[in-house]
Amino acid sequence: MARLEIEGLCKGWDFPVIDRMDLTVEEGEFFVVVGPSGIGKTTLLRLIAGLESPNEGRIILGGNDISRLPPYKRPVAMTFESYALYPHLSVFENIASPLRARRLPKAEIEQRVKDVARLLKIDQLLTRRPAEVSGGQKQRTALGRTLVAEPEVFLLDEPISHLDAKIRHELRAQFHTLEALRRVANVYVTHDYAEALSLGDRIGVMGRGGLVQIGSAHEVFEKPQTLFVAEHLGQPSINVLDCELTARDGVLHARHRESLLTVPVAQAHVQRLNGGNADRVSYGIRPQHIAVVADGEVVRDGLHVIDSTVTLFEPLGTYAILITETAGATITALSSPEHRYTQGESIRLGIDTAEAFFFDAVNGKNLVL
Amino acid sequence: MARVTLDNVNKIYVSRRGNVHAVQDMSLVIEDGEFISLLGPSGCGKSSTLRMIVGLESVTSGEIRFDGELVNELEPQERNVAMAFETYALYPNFTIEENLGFPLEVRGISKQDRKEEVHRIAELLQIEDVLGQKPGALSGGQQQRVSLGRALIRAPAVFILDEVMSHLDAHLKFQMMIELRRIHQSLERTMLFVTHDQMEALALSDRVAVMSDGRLHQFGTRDDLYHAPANVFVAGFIGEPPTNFFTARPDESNGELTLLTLDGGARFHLSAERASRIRAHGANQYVIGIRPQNMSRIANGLKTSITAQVLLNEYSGEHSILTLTVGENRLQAITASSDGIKRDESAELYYHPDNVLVFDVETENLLT
Repeated sequence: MARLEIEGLCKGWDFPVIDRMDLTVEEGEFFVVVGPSGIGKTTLLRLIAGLESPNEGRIILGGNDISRLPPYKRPVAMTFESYALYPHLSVFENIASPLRARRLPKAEIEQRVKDVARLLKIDQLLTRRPAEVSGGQKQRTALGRTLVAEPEVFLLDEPISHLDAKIRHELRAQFHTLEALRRVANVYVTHDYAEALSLGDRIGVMGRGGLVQIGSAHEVFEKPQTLFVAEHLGQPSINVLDCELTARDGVLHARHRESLLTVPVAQAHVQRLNGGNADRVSYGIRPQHIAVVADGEVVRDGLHVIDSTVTLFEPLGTYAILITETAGATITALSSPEHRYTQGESIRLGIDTAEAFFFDAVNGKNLVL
Repeated sequence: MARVTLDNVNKIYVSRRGNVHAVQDMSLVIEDGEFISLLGPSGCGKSSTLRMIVGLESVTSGEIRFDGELVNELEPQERNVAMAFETYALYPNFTIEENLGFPLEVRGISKQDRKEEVHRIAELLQIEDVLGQKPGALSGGQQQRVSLGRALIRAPAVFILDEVMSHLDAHLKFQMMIELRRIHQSLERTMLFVTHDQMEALALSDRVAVMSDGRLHQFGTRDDLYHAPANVFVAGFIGEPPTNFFTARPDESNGELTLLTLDGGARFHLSAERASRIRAHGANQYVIGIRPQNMSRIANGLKTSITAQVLLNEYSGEHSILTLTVGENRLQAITASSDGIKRDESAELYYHPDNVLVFDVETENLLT
């Protein structure tokens, strides 16, 4: 049994990086920590691995307190962003290294390395050196070295962020399907929110001092508890407007304080907002909930249409980014990459008001959860 | 400002363990004021190409010209090229103002003029408030901007950016891309950006040169690369999630030519134009490429579809990515993030015949 429990964990240098963190990762669970760089994600992994010692708190694995154990006595394996392979050893020897360190019999080492290599589809490369294999294969070698040790906790530090899209998607699918990962507690760290959402059974969004929100992918993306969470997940980032709530013709509106932009508040949000009696809010609306309304298109209910001007049109892969000036405010929307817009072009944007978020202007709490 | 021309440029590194042909017959014209990207996986020759343009690496054969003038033999400082690096390369003991002003100081420009120029660039890059600080006190994004500023301040004819965004996290990267685009629009300099990240390349540049194994595969706009990828490599490298590929054979029935995957699991209908092209071509196998973005769970007027079994439904916020199997093949499709379809369920995926790309099995080139 290997449930990982973290209790009241504190770690800091000049300032607290992790402040009284509590977290339980179940056996077989894939827990993903996502957050901006420099926030302390790797520090968390290093604490679990024993490469850093906590200022306070306990790390418990399968009921045993491992906080004071040296790294090599912890049943924990970690992969590093930089792979950290031995350049002078073959792929085989790299994978075998943790077993050699434990002085296992030769035949067993051979068997276990081959099993893992087959699982990761690198069994054809065992005699090559790291310099002679591709980035994706290096990553798989590093994974193999971690898996072969049969740890109880598997720590992964940005294992695929630096690879090409093609290999990244291949490895992502592998993380979903590897049975070996379902027998251990996994903590996976990334700065890529799409990767986090797609891989995590649960996701912890890390901010200053620790995890700001923990939940399923749908929860953290669609029901962010704070403005920080909403801003960190999603690309391009959510539009955030400093707004006042005012009634106009008997309907509650959010009025941008720095421009002429005013958007009606959807009925579902009105009740929740009145309870909070905040008249100043951060109005958040994701770019994907703002679309170009074509001439003559029937405007459906709940869509608030405003005239805008295109400032920048940037076609990417799946979508295009449209940065616009809307009633004096800068609004980012998503559009189809197949329809070109030119700078200065007049368009109409439809804001899906039911999808908006309202955050407390002072503490950033989501007021319409 | 300059028009940069590469004509049959080769780079061969000679070593005891054998020669490495890093860049092979590369020909490319970068128009004056254009923003282009060199894109490819590591080891594709993009850095060698860039180093030859800058003058840090000799040209084995071929010609590099700036505005028609041959620069092969010119020293880097004689070329009027500026470069910003992945690692920022700032002087840690100098303030930001001194770092920015250094290239001007070397040229003997007066203190007053330097100050004006530094402030102009700092304003453009929005780093005026940190001019008095040292690099160590700045965030990664700010350091990157200083590094860009130091290259820009020399008013180069060609401005080169070497993987300048690889170290930034997603949000900073995004801001930086939009900023670079804005800088390019206001300066109208010839800019050359080197990256392994296709998203950066597509977002930033007017045209992208896709390289692998020392060769230039295609040089075109985003639309060229998406709708008419020159070959299987370009189709697979550009786009996220990557393009789905199937090996298929032509199958003629009821007067219509379709492509049937080798295991018979999926039949793809083609545009009339492509079908007649295949008839004329007459091979017995082809490679089909179709992008995940072009396979939809919603018919939306489309009549052509394939049936596949769901393996994974990966939610990723704005949308979800389905991984499916059809016969012995795997493919991916984009679906709405609200789509709750699960493993082992069957999905009908609609596509437009125009979006079915067909490649020659042998040469892997697009059948046009």
